[in-house]
Amino acid sequence: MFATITVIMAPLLFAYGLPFIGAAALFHRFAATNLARGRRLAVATAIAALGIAPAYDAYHAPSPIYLWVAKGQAIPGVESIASFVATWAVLYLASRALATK
Amino acid sequence: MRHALAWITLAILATGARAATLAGTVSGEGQPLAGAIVTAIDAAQKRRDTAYTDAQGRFSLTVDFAGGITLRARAPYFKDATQELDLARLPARPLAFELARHGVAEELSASLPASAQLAKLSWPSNDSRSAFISQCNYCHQVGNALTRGPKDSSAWATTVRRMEGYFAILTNGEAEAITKTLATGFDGKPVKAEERYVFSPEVAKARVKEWVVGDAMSFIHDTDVGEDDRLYGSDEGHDIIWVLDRKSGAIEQYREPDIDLPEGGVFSGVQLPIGVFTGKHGPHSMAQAKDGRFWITNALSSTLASFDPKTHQFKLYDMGRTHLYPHTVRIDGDGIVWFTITASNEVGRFDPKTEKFTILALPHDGFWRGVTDYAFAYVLKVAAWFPKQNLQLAVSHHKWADQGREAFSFPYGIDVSPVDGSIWYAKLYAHKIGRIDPKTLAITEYDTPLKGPRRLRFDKDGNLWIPAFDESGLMKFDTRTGRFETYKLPLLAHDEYEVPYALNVHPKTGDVWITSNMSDRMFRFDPKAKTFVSYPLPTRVTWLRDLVFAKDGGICSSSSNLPAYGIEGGLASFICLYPD
Repeated sequence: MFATITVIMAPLLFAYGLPFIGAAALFHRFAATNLARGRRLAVATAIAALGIAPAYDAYHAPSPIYLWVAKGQAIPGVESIASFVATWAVLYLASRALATK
Repeated sequence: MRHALAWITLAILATGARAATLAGTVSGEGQPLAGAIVTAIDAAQKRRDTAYTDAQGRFSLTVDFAGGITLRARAPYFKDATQELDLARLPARPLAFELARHGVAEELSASLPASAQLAKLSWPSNDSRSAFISQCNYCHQVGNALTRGPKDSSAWATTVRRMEGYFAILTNGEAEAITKTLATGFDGKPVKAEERYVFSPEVAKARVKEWVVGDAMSFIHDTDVGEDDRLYGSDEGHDIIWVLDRKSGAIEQYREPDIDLPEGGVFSGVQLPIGVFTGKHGPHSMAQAKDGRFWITNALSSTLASFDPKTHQFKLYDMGRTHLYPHTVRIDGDGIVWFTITASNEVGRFDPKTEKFTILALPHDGFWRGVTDYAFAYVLKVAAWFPKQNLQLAVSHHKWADQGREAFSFPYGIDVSPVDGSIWYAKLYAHKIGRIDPKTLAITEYDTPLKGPRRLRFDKDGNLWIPAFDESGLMKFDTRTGRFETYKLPLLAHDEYEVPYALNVHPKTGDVWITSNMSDRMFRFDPKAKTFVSYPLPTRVTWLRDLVFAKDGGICSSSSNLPAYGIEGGLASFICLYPD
């Protein structure tokens, strides 16, 4: 059910993550001379994942972990790390797939 | 004892084996108690007959059942007193009750209605209080013995989340405020309420009869009276129509036919009240057509059902499963069945001759409500992949967009104008009423001056009477001039409130009968004198929905607090008040 909820709520998560996605895009552009393409993509998608990776409340409703932190709400550590890693992996693979097209 | 000096009599007028008249007095602290409630309860605790004392504390109660009874006298601020009697061998001694005033704060507190218990809650804002009234009192009293037990914030948070699964529509902030307020306010300490019960001489003439029906999990949402003067009750939780013959006391039950839906019907993804909602249809409201058939809105299965009271046969009509929660139903002069469809903001029109539905999409009332109107059916479809897991709470914009109940319009009550046949409905959360032209189907809406317009009814002159659930009020709308009048319901104390769910206008007297629901009373409003009479009801935690008028003069309903086990005695009942 969490996967379904996350898919349904993905547009909202992306909307919340726009500042991070913007930062990731800027990083990707300006780091072009310093970092190899693969590493650049990995770091950029990690920045984006910081703004998108969700934590789930008592209703199983997702909102980005950074919002939880900003509101001073406690978040479970292990689940948050897992959420970040999963989000980053999805973003990285999706970005790489798009980049090779 | 001064009460010994009071007029005391005992009259036993046997009118056959199943009826007797009991007469006597009720006094307290030596003074006659006016408006005291005297109730005869049968040995099986299935029947309750009630009378009220007059200004001299005298009562006369005819019971229409036999055998052993418990006779109970009850008055505010006094302890109940009971006498065990055998109707076949009534004692020669007079029936006199001398009630003792409550001396223990906890006992007094326990005897007070939910409205008094709620007055001690200290709300952080009017918005959170309004959300509580609208969403928590939506289905049941809060503040009665079942619901006011002391719990910590964590336990209340669990309860509030469970209620949100049951469709309490709250923002996260409202849920948090309610949780904290209940955890702080319901601390187990006795409430010190000063309520004012006004005795009206009319009350002394009234009688109340109750017939216990179903079990602790029954949820008899609405009651209608048939042409045969029987009462028909729709058990929304169990897909059953209960039928009561008030003369014989016989109760029958008829179950709706099965359907290719899981438990919970279209709402199977929602965790509906556990143990109560075990069906698939959710029969909600009903109205009888001229041909004798009842038309029943099946809230959970998105169907309309006909029920023939002679053959006891049902027939189902599928309106399409994106039309969510068909609600109140009425039939116009041409036999057309009209009903609100609450959760998808629609009104349905069904022609029994052609068996065709016409579904009218009502105005969206803003952007977020429009999102609901378009998206909610699909959210429920996805939620149904995960039965009873409440996926809708995780994705709904009433949460993430902080809209709460403002994300819904909730068309609710509906009625047919006796003047021009137009159809009028109330929108509970949009605080509007609307008119549908029955020919052109054109829709016009009006804002209501009070919030929470619920089940409205016309009087014979074309005035629309509307209960204001959120504001303890009554509204009158003159459909000719477009003008509203508002009235505040008579409260027991200035800091209490009522949640009037429904009303009905007596076809002969023109009196408006209104449910109170937070103080175990029923109101009668005289539109000419603009005065209220309050009838205290005998059973605590009485929560009434539709009111109907029986041929024998009864104003009838079903006690439908959700759950029934929260009602005094633990069971639902059919209830009729006979004012004269």
